[in-house]
Amino acid sequence: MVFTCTVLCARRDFDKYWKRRRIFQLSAHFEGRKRNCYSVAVRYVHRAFAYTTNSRKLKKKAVRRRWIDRIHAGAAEFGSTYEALITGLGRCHISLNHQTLSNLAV
Amino acid sequence: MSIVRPLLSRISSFTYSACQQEHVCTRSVRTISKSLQAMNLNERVRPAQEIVEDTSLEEEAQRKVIIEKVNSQIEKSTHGRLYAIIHLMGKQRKVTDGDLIQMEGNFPPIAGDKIRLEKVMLVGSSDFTILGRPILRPDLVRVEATVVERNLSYTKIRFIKKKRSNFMRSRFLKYPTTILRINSIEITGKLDERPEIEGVEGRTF
Repeated sequence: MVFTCTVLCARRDFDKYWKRRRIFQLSAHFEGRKRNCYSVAVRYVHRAFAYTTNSRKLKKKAVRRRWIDRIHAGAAEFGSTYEALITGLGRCHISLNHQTLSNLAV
Repeated sequence: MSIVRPLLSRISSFTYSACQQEHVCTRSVRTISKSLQAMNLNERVRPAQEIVEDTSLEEEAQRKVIIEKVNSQIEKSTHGRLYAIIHLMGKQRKVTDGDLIQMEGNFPPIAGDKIRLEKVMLVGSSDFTILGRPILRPDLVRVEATVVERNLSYTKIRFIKKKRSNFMRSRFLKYPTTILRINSIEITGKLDERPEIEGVEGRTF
């Protein structure tokens, strides 16, 4: 085969530019060399990914804790407690969840 | 009419005889207290018969007054803006007229479809709230919505890395989302006026 122009696939790492572009897009809001230097940015982007996956579980716990506090505050306005309110609602077959109860309490 | 609490009758027979005597032997008091402790009772419970008054008639009268007031507001539609709590796609959402809701997951209706949201758990206005146990009956409330948009969510990342172990897994996901516009919330029935046959509306045999 005869090639008149330089063959792109003969280069060693054709996708290097685009691979790094993917990482730099995600690290655009980081500080310093984490933003522009690939070997540093890769590590911190992976960390950011790991944080997002882990924090999804933690968020649920934190948010539920916040709902419980708000329900307790709303119940205390009427001289009751969170436990009394929740058990009472359960006995009356009212299945409003903690999110809606905290929305109503706020 | 006074109602005597049955739970305490056992204890009352125990201590009433002790109180009748002028001199209460310390030994008998100790044995009584030990037996009470053995029963695991709360300290606040007094071992005596309590008289509980029957207020059911008064409560019935109050209830009727409240229901009449609410029904009159419904009849004249003077309740104003209504809010409702709807159970949709596994989640409960507080909703009023003109709201936009976003849902994630497989929701069959396409853009432009008109929907009636049936699982209404609570309806309220500024003056009253009607709670369902767990859902309000369909001839009482009507919530209508239209599907505005069907799209994909932002890319969600699932990433695990174990350091120094050459282990790294990543997955980039996009879930289908729909946006609904709540057109109207109406109370179409009255409280305490249930039809003879329920669960038949909108069904074909």
